Order: sequence, then structure tokens, then C-alpha cells
Amino acid sequence: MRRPLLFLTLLFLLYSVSTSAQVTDQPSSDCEQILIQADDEFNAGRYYGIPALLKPCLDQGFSSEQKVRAYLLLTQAYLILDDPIAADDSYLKLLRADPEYVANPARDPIDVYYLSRKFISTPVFTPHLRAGFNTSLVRTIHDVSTSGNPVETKNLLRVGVQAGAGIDWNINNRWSLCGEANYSYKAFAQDKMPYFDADEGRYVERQNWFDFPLYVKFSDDSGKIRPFSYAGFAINLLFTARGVNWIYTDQKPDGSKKEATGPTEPLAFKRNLINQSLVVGGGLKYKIGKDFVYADIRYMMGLTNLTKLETNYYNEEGEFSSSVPFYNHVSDLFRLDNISISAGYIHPIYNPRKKTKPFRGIFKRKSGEKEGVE
Amino acid sequence: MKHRVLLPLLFLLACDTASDFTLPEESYFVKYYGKDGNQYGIDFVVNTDGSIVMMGNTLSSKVGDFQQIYLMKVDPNGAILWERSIGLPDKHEYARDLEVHPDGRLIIVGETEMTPGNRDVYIKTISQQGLPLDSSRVALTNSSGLETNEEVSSVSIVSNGFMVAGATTKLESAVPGANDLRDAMHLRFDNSLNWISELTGNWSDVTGSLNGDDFATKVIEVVPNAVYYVFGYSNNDFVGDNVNDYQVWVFQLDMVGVPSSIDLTFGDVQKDETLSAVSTTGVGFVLAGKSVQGTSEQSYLIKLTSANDLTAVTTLVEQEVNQLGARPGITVLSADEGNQIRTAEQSNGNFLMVADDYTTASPRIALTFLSREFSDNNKPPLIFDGGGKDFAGNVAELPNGRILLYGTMTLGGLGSQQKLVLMKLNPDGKLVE
Repeated sequence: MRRPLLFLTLLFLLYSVSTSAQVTDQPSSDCEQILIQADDEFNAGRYYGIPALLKPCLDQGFSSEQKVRAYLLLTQAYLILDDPIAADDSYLKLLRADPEYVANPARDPIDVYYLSRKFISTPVFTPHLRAGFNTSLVRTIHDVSTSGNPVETKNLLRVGVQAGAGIDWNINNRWSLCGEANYSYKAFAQDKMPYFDADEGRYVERQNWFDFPLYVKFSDDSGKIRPFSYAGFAINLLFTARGVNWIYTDQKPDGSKKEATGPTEPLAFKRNLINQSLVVGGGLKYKIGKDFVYADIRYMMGLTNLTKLETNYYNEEGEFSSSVPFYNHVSDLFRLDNISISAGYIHPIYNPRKKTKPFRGIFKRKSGEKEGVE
Repeated sequence: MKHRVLLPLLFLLACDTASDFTLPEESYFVKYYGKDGNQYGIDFVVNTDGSIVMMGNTLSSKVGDFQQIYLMKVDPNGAILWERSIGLPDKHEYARDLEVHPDGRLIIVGETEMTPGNRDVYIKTISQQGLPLDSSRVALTNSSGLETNEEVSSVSIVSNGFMVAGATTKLESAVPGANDLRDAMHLRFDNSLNWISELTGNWSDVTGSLNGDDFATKVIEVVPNAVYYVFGYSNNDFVGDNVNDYQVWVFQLDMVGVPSSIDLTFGDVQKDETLSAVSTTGVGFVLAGKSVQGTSEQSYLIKLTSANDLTAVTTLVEQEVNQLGARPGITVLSADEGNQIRTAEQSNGNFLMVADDYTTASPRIALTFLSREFSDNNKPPLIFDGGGKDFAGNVAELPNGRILLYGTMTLGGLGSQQKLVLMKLNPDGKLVE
């Protein structure tokens, strides 16, 4: 189970490195001369020839950074030439070259700054991949013991793994609605004792799940390291479950013991397939180029009882299960909580566009709020 | 409008809590009881408050320890209220039967092994709180003054006391025949468990045939202080065909324990019929036992009418029901390990029967649903199997129609420890709501 996880992590790293490399393409020295020449033309007040001068390099030759400078120059020129449509088009192309570009009144001409406020380049959708480790906590709803005496239950942690993908629908720079589809391998163990003065049982369960969390996320929108937190709920499909390495130990007063072990116990038919949970979590995003890597800690609080009462004492053929007396065990009614730590990769899909009417609703923006990526 | 959005959302996020479920143990459960070593479930009673008292035997894993009678009271959901072990510390005790007196006292009866081959009758009363009340240990002696071996089957509550049924090697006949191994024993005790022995002239302890192995399974008082029926089995040659097969045998005692000349017998001359238990029903008596042919066993049920005189008793049904399997080497049954067949009449007039099933390598508990005529309607018995030696104890229907099943199950597989098991089942015998 660890090897696939290592493979996934390597894939993340490779993808991260390759994507980062794509944004640092080499500038052309000839086009740099053209850009300097266009700048001189602008300073000399000869605006009409600038688009034609820049066009060949804009079509082929400029680096991303040079494109930003070129489109900024064109935007200024068109504004001076009183051609707002062309100015809008140039600024939109600037944002396509650098979706994270934010006009600054201290650096940029004031008319460009005001023009920039008509545009937004926030990604509408942000896909991400994640993988990591988890552990599960049993929360007993009702003890369905086979013992007439109270039995103490000790929950033991077991490590599981998970991997998945998700997508954020960005309401604005900070708030987003997020959905994920994750595969999870979860495990837990319980020690129960004492039975009959000194006997004890160990019951390990391994489960495979598909988790579908849906949550609201709040993220910091600036800085190299950006914290985020979220809350929501999840639909959880428990599609396989098995009891492994169950041991019932007959502990004799003289210190000797006899252990009863057996083959893997099929448990999926004793578990409810569809379950729900609450999801809360948070973490940190680290910016690499336009993308992010992130680390996330998540708590999924199980809401539903996993044990199917109608099959709890029976085997798959519907007969009384011999494992009930063999292991002196039957499942409690229980919910399963899960804590996971994941690392992931975020690739925002930028969509520079001219603003439409503000979105009215629960995320209605305050008037005058700063917009832009950075 | 808001509610249309919020209510489904709240439903989706609703958290399952204990209050969302009918607690399973109120309707059904499997509970194992015991302590170190092995415990064997023999019998149980249900009190009017729904609490349950279970009786069995316990033998610790410590070498040199002696088997004790094990008594336990649990609440209707199976939680232990109290438990105690009973018996002499240096003798093996064998629990056989448990009854509850209308005044609430619990009556246990069993055997104490004084020396190998010499068991005495042991009877004891216990309060509902588990406190010991009266007790008596009876050793019969033969004409030579030597202690004889007594086997106990059951205790019955009769007017002003109790009646213990079983068998003894104290033989009536002065010159016993080759088959005269045991005579039927019917000991009488007063309300304080004082034994009313033959020496008082008020009661006769033993009834036996001249050349038969005779066993009394149960004594039932039919007319207070006047008529008693003894249900048992014997291999006496009742019909003079020189065949000494075991047959179910019913005879009548008068007010001083003297048998009448009338007796009833049931069985197939090709088979050995033994009697495990007798219960009273609305129409009369139900006798449950085994029919053994070679090594093959079958459950055997008889329903008799009730009458104040045995001559008026008629047979309603005589039926073999379930093939219980084959046990090589077993012909005459010992009560020390399993071998119990018990029936319980249901409120609808049908019957429940539990028995040990030997159709697999190790015995399993089999619960069968029977019609009034003891037909199982081709419905296979429900099997409760732990993979080890599992034995039937007793069965009862609760006032709400649910079924209590009691016995012994092996935990941890064959060769491991045996424990008492109590199961509460739904009216279909299932461990579900």
C-alpha cells in the first residue's frame, strides 16, 4: 500500500516541477530591442505606430514578462488615443499573459489603474490533487456486547491512506465552494476486555471508502504562504470491509493462554454502504509559480451508524455466524471519525474577464473592496 | 421557503445517536456467561419481572479443582445481576434442574459425586437475591447398608414440598436380573427440604422392574397429595417379547409413593427411546426424548392428554421429528454432556424444541419450530454453531412472543473453553428486531 502512495507523491513533484518550468520561458533579445524601441516611441508621443511595431513579437517572440510590458504599453497608448475598446482588449491580453497582474497606482499610470478595476482574473475553478495518511476513531453509539458483564473497549489507532482530486468553485478571491472525490483506505482496531475475568479480544477492521466531501473554504489570497480553512459535509461510501487478524485470547489464571485466530472475516455485508459525515479542516498553500502545493489536516466526523443490525449476527449465507462465538464478538453500533493529513497540488485555471454585475447573495461583496489576484 | 432548504439539509446532517435505535438487547441478543474454565448451561427459568435465572456447571482450568453448580441471575436484557457457585469444595457437583417456586424461591437439584460411582442427590433453595436458603444431600443405601449411586433428572414442585426424579442403584428386587442396573427414583422433600424417606412410611423412594434399567425423568403431581405420574424410560420387557429395548415408560404413584399396576409405554421395538424432559401444556403433557437406533439419533415427541388417573390418559401424538445425526459409540445417553431435548409451548399452541444436532463433526444447537401435531412442516431447524461442542439447554417463549434459548457454546473453536449462552430471538428465531 505504501508503494502506490510513493508513486503518487513522485508524480505530484514531477508535475509541480514541470509546470513551474513552463512559466519561465526564455526572452528573445531581438524582441527586447523592439520593446525598448516601442517604449521610446511612446515617450516620444508617436503612439500610432506602436501596435504595428509590437505585433510580430506579440505573435511570436515575447516572453510572458515581455508580453505584459508590451500590452501595458499598448493599453496606455490606446487610452491616450481615446480608443477604449482597444485599450480594454490590450489589458485583457495583459491579464492573459499574467493573470496575477495587479495594477498599482504608484507604479502604473492612473488611467491604467482605473481601467484595471473593470477586469478580474480570479480563477473560476481550481482543480487540485491530494494524497496522504489517515487514522480512524471509533465512536460507539451503543455497546452490543456478547458479554453479560460490562467490557472495557480500548480503541487503537491504525494508519490508512487516501488519495483523490477536487475542484474549487471560487466565489471570490477568498471564498470558494469545493467538492472532492477521494478514495480512502481506513483501519481501526479495538481491544475488548475482560471477558470471563481475564480473556480479551482484538478486532481489527480494514475498510475501503469513496468519500465525497462538499465544503466551503476560506483562503488567504496573498503571500507566498496562504492559510486556508474549510467546513462542510461528505457523503461516504463504504464499499468493502473486512476483519483481519482477529484474536481471542483465553487467559488462564496460571499465566498460560490460548489464542483463537482464523481467516479474514468478511464484514462489508454487515456495514451500511451510504454514510455521511461532517468535514472540517485547514492547512497552508505554498505558491510555486502560478500553482500551489499544499498541506492539509482534515477531521471527518462520522454522522451515521455503520453497523447493519439485520446482519450483525449472521454470515453471508444468512446463517448464524460461527465467528460470534469463535471470537466472542459482534459489532457495536458505531460511527467512524477520521483524521487525515494530505499533501496536494493546486493548479488554478485563470479566467481573465471583464467584470459583469456583482454576484448578489451570501457572498455579496462590500462596495470598494479591492479586487484582483494579489 | 427557507424551511424547504434547511429541513433536507438538517436531515442530511442528522447524527445517529443511541436514542435513534431501539436498543438491540431489548429485542434480541447473544450473551456468553462464565468465568475461568468451562461452564455448561443446563436449565433456566424466567421470573415474572422478566429477569432470568440460569443454572449450569462450572469447572475451572486449575488442575485439581472440582466442578461446582453455577447459578446466575440476569436482567431481561442479559446484564448480570448476580452469580454464585454452589457445592462442596472437594466434590464434583452436577446441576440437573432448576425451578422457581410460586413464592419466588429458586430450587436447584443435582448430584454430588462423593466418590467415583457414588453420587448423592443434592437439592437446594436460593432466594431471588442469590442467598442460600435450605439444602439437603441424600444418600440412599442398599440392603447391605452401602451407599448407592443416584442420578438426578428433575425437581418438581408438589403440595407442601418437592419431588426429585432420577435413578438409583438401590434396587427394589432382592434378586435383580441382568438388565436391572437402576431403578426409577422419586424422592420426596418437604417445603424446608427435609427428606421424607421410606423409613417414615409416608413415601416410597424407588420403583423398579425386575429385569429392567429404569429411569424416572419427571414426577408430576396430578391430584394434590394423592396421584402422581412418573415419566421415564426403561428397558424392561413390558410385553414379554424377550426384547429389552428402552421405551418411554409412564406409571402412577399413590399418596405414599406406591405404584399402581397400570403403566404406559411408548416406542419402537427396533429402537431405544429415552426421555429427556416432560412439560405440561394446555391439553396435557409433552414428553421429549430421543429415539436411538444404532448410532443414529432422532428426536422423539409424545403428547398425552391430562387425566386424574393414568388409565384415562390417551396418546394424542407420537412422533419422531428431527434426525439429530449419528454418534458412533453412543447408545445409552449420559446426562453429563448435552443430550438434552427440551420443548416449550408457544402462545399459539405450537411448539419449540431444542436439541443437540450431530449431523456435523461436533454438536450444534438446533432450534425447531413445530406445529401442534409436532410437524416441522419441512422447515429445517435453525442451527447455532460455534465450531466447537455446542449443547442445547432449554427454550422458552416470553410473553411478548420472543424466544429465549439457553445452552452451552464453545468459544475459540473446537477444544477451547465452553461457556453458558443465552440468546433472545425474535418469534421467528432470528437475531433481528
